[in-house]
Amino acid sequence: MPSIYGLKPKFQDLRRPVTHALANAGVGPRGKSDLAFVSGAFGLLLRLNLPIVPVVRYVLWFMVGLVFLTHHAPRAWCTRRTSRVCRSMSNSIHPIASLLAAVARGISGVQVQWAGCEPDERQRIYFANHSSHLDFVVLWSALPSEIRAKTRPIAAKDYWEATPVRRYLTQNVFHAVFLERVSPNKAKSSEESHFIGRHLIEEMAHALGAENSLILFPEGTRGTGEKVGPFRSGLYHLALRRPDVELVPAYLENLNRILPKGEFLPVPMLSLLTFGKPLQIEPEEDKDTFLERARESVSSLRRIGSA
Amino acid sequence: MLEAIHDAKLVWLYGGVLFLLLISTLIGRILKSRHRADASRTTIDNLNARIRAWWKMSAIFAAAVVIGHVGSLILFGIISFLAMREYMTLVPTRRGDHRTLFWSFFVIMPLQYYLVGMQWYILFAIMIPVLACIFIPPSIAIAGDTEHFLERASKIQFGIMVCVYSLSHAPALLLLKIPGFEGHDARLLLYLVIVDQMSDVLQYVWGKLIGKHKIAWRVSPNKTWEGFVGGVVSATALGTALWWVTPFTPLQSAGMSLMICILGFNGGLVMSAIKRDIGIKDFGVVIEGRGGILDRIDSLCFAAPIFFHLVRYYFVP
Repeated sequence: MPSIYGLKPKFQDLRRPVTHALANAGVGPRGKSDLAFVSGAFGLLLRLNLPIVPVVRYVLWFMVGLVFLTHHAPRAWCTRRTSRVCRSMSNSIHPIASLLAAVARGISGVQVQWAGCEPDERQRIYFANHSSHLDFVVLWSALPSEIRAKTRPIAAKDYWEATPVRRYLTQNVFHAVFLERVSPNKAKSSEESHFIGRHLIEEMAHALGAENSLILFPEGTRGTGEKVGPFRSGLYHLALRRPDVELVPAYLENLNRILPKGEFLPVPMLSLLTFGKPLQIEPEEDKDTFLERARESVSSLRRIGSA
Repeated sequence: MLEAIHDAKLVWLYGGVLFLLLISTLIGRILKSRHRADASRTTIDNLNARIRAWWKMSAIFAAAVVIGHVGSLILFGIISFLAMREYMTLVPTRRGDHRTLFWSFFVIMPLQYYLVGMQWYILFAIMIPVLACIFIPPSIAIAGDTEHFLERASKIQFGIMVCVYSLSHAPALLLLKIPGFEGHDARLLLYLVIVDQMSDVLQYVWGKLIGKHKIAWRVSPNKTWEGFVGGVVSATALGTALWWVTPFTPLQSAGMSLMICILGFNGGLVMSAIKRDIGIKDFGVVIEGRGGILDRIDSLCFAAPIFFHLVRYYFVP
């Protein structure tokens, strides 16, 4: 179907093989028939008088056990025989992360479009506009699961370490990289802010390692969603430090209406996520030109006008 | 459960639907093979996509009807949810509407369907037009944003009236106690949906075949007098021919289906006007692959409440 905005849609089917097979069998194209399917099954359970509550309870206990075993069991429990399993499990995606990703996808009804590149396992820095707490989870959930397991978010230390729940979510569930937010005004001297900045870049480069990717919101804080704010310089320095890593712009649309800053209850409207063409620093390009170009590459991916 | 399967007339009705789908699939295939490299290719692809969508919709609808009242309520609840989601996504709202929207989605909408399910007729009839419409403006005002206040309040009221209130009258048909028609209410719902959707399809087909004179070209270039008359007459004829599944006599059935067709046309017209106002062609176009529900059910939203009240007034003592 041609879009009136002149972009050819390209769907990325990221669902698991089972749902995929169902879709191929004609059961349903996307989320809405899945929803009907699930609720139909639920209605059937109700009608057949199956013991729903015990079943749900067992499933929940099972999940809690799984989370504990895979992510919190002491290392000492891992004997030589099980150590490989333990290691492979702790490297995998946390079940709560998968759950949150599924919830976020459901609430945001996100439609993903790879407009400038394809999903790839190579190391990348995804950078996007920031207007909602859902931003990271939605972007992360839009990646195929192999890539997801190696993609980490950057979290602001002052906010995400403030309460135990936030800390657990960022540290254990999403394996976030914690960073101190520094504003140049607060530092005592320009040398100090320079030093801290350099330290942060090193930390991010370290987090990238040999195979990880990062998700970065270079605006530094959540905006109103009307336009993309100016970018902080971290993206530029990180790109200089790791020229081998691809910089992929992404635009998250409408999430500011689904869960705006300051609200904690979402409204389930539909949203769009567009990945753009990877960016590179031109030789002898200065910081401000590059950051402006990066900002432009993100905001040009907008598909609906200022909705 | 599953009493629907033992209703012979319902099975015949469904057999008819399947037969129609088979015929149209066949026609679609033939057209596709005849016009391989043609200008009409896009129209034919569009037709085939519609037919595929019809297969899926009929399957889901059949499953819901077989499961029973709960199934239909859940199905229409989901349709309402998806339609309102589309509507609210495309209608401009502001930050101050956030909590009101949350209430509309997660409190008012489920409550409406719950009330339909528990057959509390009076409350379900006033729930949205009285209670919700009084609740919405102050809850927006309390957020403190006065810009376009009246517009925003009306947009939310209209959306919830059309997508939730009107549509909830379709499953409410299942709860009417018509003497001599007990246990067959699923047929009435199916009758409404078939006549309404066939009227849409036939208007489209007649319009494509012989349409010339536009009705309101500013609103919708696809709506022509020829398509309207042809579609309404043929869908009314179909509805009349289906009188044996309803509690109506053939003449009453003709009147009912005529009313469904004309109201359905009005629904489509109103939704087209809204789309022009927002500046989009179809609700489904902007959110590709996730939209288009509202384009399909706009006519049902306008036909269902009046059909419900007519049946209730004349056939329920």
